[in-house]
Amino acid sequence: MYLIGKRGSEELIFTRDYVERLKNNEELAYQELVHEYSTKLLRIAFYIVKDKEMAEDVVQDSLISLYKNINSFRGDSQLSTWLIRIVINNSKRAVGAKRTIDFSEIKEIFLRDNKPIPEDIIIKKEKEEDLREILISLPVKYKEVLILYYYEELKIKEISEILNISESGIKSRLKRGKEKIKEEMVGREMIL
Amino acid sequence: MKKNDMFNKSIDAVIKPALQDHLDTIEAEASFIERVISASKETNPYTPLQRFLEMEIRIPISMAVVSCVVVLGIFANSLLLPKELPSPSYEILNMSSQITMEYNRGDLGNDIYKNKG
Repeated sequence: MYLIGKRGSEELIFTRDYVERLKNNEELAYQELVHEYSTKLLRIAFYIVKDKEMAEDVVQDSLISLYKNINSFRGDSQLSTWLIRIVINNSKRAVGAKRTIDFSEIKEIFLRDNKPIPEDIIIKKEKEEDLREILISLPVKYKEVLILYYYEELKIKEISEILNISESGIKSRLKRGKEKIKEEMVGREMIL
Repeated sequence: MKKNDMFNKSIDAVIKPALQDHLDTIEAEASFIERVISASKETNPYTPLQRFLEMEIRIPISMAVVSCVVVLGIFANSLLLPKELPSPSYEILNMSSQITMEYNRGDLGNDIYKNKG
């Protein structure tokens, strides 16, 4: 039975119970945690590091790190908040100071299936690919906010807790991120 | 409605599907889950002592700079500004006694005797 996905006070209550089980070294509790969170964490890590193998390494290290440090978890925040924070920090460490983007590599990822399709669909597909390309090429500080806000649908307050940045800082990054997307779109003469 | 607001609304509407298209294909495979679970079996949660030893101590840069300046200041002060040596009071007493002695057996006394003579 997995209740970890629940939000709000219900999750907080469950988190306490769940953390206790982990602290008591219950193997099953850890297995449930891995099953429940792996895909979600893998997607977050993949979006930041842009490489599936590297993302897998990041998630594995993060889950092991959580397991080792479970006794220091005070339960002030949700377990998911803590886990996402570890994954984002490890992903950023994995990416390092690398800011350059190899667009040819990204294009290759999106142009795998080249079946003959009508022209209007091609144009639409190209637009979508361009947008995804822009989203991937953004600096990490915008990507981490965008994925948590748009993909994970977290609230500004929750993102602020995860990234340890003020709520106004998160709003500002969201705004700057969207501006960056706009700049890129204008540069590519894209129309929404 | 302003042009910028329109853009924001339309960009909000396209970011999520674009991210979904990109990320929904990523799934944690069974082999990966198995690997993560087996990796945990080789390790144990940290004991309080291990946690203490693993603890990272972070000193803010400003704090570190201030303490370096203070330490350097104390060190430089002891090198460049030697303190004045206190002059012991007995020397003064000794001088005054010397003067007294000079007076007793000095030229002034002789002069008196000379005058008498």
